[in-house]
Amino acid sequence: MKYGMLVDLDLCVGCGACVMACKLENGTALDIHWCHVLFKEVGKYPNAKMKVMSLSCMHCENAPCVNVCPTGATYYDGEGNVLVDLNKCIGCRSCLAACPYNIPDICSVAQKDNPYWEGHEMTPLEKIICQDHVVGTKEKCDRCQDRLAEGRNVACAEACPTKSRVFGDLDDPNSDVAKQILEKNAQPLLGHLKTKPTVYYVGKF
Amino acid sequence: MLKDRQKLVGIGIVCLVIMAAGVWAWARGYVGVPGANNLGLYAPWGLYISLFVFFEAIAVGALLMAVFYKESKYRFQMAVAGCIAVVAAGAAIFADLGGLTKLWNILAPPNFSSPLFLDVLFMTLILIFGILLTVNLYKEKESNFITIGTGVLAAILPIATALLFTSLAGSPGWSSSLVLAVFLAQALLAGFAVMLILAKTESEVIRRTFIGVLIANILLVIGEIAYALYSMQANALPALEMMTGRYALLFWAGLVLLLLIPIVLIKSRPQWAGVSVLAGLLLTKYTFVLQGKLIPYIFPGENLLVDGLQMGSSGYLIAPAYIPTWEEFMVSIALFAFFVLAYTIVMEISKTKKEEVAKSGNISA
Repeated sequence: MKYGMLVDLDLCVGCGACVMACKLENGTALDIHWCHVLFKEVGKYPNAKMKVMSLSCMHCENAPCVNVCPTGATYYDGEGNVLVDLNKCIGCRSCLAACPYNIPDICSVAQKDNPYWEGHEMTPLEKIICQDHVVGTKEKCDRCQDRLAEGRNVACAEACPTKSRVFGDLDDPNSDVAKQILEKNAQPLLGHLKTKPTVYYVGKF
Repeated sequence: MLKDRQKLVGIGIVCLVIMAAGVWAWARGYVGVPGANNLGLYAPWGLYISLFVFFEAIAVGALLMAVFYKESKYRFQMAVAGCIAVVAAGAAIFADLGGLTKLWNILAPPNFSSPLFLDVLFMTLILIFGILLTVNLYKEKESNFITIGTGVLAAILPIATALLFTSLAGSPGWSSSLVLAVFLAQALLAGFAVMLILAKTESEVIRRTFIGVLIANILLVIGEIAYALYSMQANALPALEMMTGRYALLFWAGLVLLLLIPIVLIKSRPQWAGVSVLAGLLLTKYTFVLQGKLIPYIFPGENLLVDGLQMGSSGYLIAPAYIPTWEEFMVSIALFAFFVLAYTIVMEISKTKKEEVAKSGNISA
C-alpha cells in the first residue's frame, strides 16, 4: 500500500473548495493552510490567461523535511504518507527551510487566542479539532488520517467539484489514481530535486 | 581598585537587568503571545538564527586564535571569549525553538541524517574542548591533544553549519557552495576582530594577517556577487534580489562595515576596526539568513500571484519583509549582555585567583 494523489491542473478551476474542505476537516488556525492554491498570469492581452495550481504536502518518498528533522518528529508511516509526531517536534523550523514546495508551516499562536475573525467564538467541533494543533510545532497535511482509518477519501479530493484531485493506492494498478497517472503521463513537481513526491501533476503551470 | 570594583558591579547590574528583560520577552514568545516573533512560512529563520551564526563565528575565530597564535599573551582571554560565544550561540538556538521542554528529543534517539544534529554535536564537542583548553591556558599548561582537537573542531564547526544551510533543497538563497568558504573566512575575520578589541595593536603581524584575511573575505564576496550577476541559474536570484531589493541597504552596509571600514581603521584605530568587523558580520549574517527563502517560489516562475507575497526587483515574488519584533530585539540584546557579563565574571575570577596564588606564594617565600 502506497497512498498517492493526482492533481490535474487542466481540470482545476481554482475554486478553493479543497482549501476550505481541508480547513473544515483539520481546523487549522488563522492564516495556516495545509492546502494552498497558487495563481499565475500567463500571456499578454488579449491572450492573457490565469493559471491555477493546487498545492499541498507532496508526501515525498525522499522527503527533505524528514531528512533534516533533528528529532525524527517528521517520519514516513510506511504507506506513502509523511506524518508529524507533535510530541517530538521542537519547532526548529528546519523543515520549513528545507521544503522546496513551501508546504510546512509553524503553529505560532493557539487558535483560541487568535480567532478566525474578531468576536468569533469557536464551535464545539472547532474546540475539539483545534486540540490537534500544538503551539510551537509543525503544521502540514496528514492526509486525513482519521478518514483513511475509516476507509474514506481525503477531504480535499472529496470536495473537488471538477475531480481534479484523485487520491488512492499507487501500488494498486486498478486504482483510479494509478490508472490516470499512467494514462495522462502525470509527473511529480520539481522532479529534478529527487524528492520523489507521491503527488503527481498533469498540465502546465 | 575601588573604582574598578564599582565599575564591575555597575556592568553586572546593567547586564543582569537586560538579561532579566530578555528572559521575560522570550517567555512571552514561548507561551505563544501573538506577535512575539515575526516568523512564518516564508521567513522560517530570523534574528535568533542570525545571532547563532554570528556568535558561532566569534567562537570559532576566538578559539582558533587561542590555539594557533601561541606567542600571544591574550590566548586565555581568547579561549574564554570563544567558550562564552559557543554558549551564546547555543542560547540563540534555544530562544528560536518552539518547544524547549522537548529538547531532549534531539538526543533520544538522534536523527543522524539531520545537519542540525551534526551542528549540535560539534557545538557540544567544541564547548568541551574549549573549556579544557581554557583551563589548560589558565594553568599555563599545554596539552597537544586538547589544543589540536580544539583547532580541528573549530575549523569543522563553521563548515558543518554552512552545510546545514546549503544542504536544504528548498532554499535556493543558501545553495551556493561558496557559503562553506565564506563561513570559515568570516570566522577567521571575527577571531582577529576579537583579538584587536581585546589586545588593541598587539603586533604588526596580527595587523598584517588581519589585512590578509580581510582580502580573502573581499575576494569571496566578489565571487558571490559575480556569480549572482553572471549566473543564468535561478539559484542566483535571491542573492541578486538581496543586492538590489528591500534589504540592499543592510546588505551593502554590512559589507562596508565588515570589509572596507576596517581597512581604513586598522592602522590608526585597531580596536574600532575590530568593532566594525563584528557589526558588519552581524548585518551580513542577518541578510544571509533572510536570503534563503527570500524568493519562495523561484521554480514555478515569474508572474505568480500569491497572497501575502510582494513583487521583488527581480520580477519574482518575494517574502514579506521580516522585521524582528521588540521581543526578539530584547532577547537578542540579552544575549550580548550575557556575553559581556559572563566574560567579565570569568576574567575577574581568574584574576582574583591568580592574585591569591601569587600572594600565598609570597607569604610562603
